[in-house]
Amino acid sequence: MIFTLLSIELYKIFKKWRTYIGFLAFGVFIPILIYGVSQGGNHYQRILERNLGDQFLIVGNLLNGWYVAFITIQAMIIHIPFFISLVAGDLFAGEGTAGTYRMFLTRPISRELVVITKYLAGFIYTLVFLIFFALLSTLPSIYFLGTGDLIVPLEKIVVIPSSEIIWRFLIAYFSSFISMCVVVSLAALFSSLVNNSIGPIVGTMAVIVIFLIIGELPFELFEKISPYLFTKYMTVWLEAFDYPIDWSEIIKSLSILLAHILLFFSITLLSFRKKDILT
Amino acid sequence: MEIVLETKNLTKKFKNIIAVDNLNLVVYKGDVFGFLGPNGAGKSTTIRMLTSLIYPDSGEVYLFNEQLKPNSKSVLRRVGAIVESPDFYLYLTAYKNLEILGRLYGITPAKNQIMEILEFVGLSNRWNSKVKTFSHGMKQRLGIAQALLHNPDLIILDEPTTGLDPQGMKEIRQLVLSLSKEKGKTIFISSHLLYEVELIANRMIIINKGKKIVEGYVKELLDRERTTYNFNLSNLEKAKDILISLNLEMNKDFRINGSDLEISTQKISASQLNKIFVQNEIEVYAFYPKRSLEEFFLEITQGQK
Repeated sequence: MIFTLLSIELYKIFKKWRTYIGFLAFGVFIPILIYGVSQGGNHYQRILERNLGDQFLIVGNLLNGWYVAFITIQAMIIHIPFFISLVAGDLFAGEGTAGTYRMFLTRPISRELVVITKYLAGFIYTLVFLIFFALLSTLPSIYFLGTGDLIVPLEKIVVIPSSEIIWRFLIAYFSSFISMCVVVSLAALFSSLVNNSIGPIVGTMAVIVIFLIIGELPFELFEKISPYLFTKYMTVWLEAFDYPIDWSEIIKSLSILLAHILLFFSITLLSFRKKDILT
Repeated sequence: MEIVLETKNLTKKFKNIIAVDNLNLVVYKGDVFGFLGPNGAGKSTTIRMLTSLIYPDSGEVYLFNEQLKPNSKSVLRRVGAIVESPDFYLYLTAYKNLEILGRLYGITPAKNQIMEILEFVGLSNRWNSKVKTFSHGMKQRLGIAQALLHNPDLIILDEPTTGLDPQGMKEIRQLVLSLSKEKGKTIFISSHLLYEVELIANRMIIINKGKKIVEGYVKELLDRERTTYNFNLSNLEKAKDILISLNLEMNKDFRINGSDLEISTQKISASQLNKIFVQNEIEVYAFYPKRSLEEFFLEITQGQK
């Protein structure tokens, strides 16, 4: 029955227009970005070379396909969570809004199974979306802009040799997937509590944005709170572009994120199994 | 008689409001069971408990002698239900909705099976239309289709004619009757329309404020209420004297109500009285049972307020 339910959930997700908003947005944005870099990249490269030229001997193309892929993966912080919460926030609440709980839950299926399959469907949607995103942000940009070493201009400048780039991106995308599953779980939890998907979407984004802001504020109080905010660990994918990679930090962050997924799932399960369907 | 559905002391509260209060009812195999009550009486709450959408605070629901519990819902395989207005996945076709809802019963309905059901409810020509293009009446019929798809033994219909035009209401009634008579289904139908229940149900219960008011066979309840007759006569005074001479007591066995004589007694039948009036040269313009089931219903439910 679990596969039947899961296939039905996936069918419902991929039959809704809102599911494709994220695909559409990145499908439009990334080609524009690639085109923009290819057209005006020389000026930006000169700025980079001027700033880095004192410390590095720069040879080759800095604004290559990998660099564009690195720019686009920053969308994992805000943009992708938004598109994911659009779908995940509707998982339960959408049934409430449409009144289909009355059709769905009068069947001989346990509510636990309903929660499990809705979560799994949310995770699968996220996986599909991230694979699309990863392919779109790497393949065309590599094709049009070429390859080379990757310059990571964050807190410190890291130069990743081309031989290491692919597996580092794989680690980054895998970590992003776990991070985005936390977003799915939080949005699904909110979704299970109400009967309108706007609340869960706004609520999820509000939590993420507020937690991100609190986590970045350079004050003692917020610095003490920061380790308890799951958003601190959602940028774990950045570790994949550090040198050397801090594996213990990645494992710790992923463990904390998985614990949050489990926590949000458990709360959803407990509340939904007792929920009175009044819509 | 085989019991198909039974509730024992079923109770549900929402904060301080008791929606259903120690409700006991029994539905037998083959019944078309009318579940009546005014708006807010607790009908939908009861039906939601019967279909596991909400859980009772106390009391039990038995379907086919098996207790319905949150973790034991397999008995719902034998039940098809429409709870309030049937809502579907509007972005899917009628066919796809039925396929999905059928699979949730653990069956994979064949195309011809779905088409047969759609034919039965008169929607076969719209099988490939998205439900968002359907009228309310079409959704109601599709609701009945989804309730029948897995060939259940018990069909629960919550106010299935709400929002329909008279023709649509008639069609649904005919559909219910054919399900009962031709397919031998047990039907539990809630309504606040008394005449509807009079037309299709053999047994019924009336609830108000979550409590049972009366339960029984529709015919018996109607007959009981039809011992009161109104006579519209040419000479009320003469008729009054005749009744007194027949040992009927004024204001007990009969009373004058405006231009009518209202007789409520089992000492003599209405037809005998009619004959007596005519023999005494009193013209009988009309005589009719005073109370329909509807009046009875209104009286007892309003009496509860």
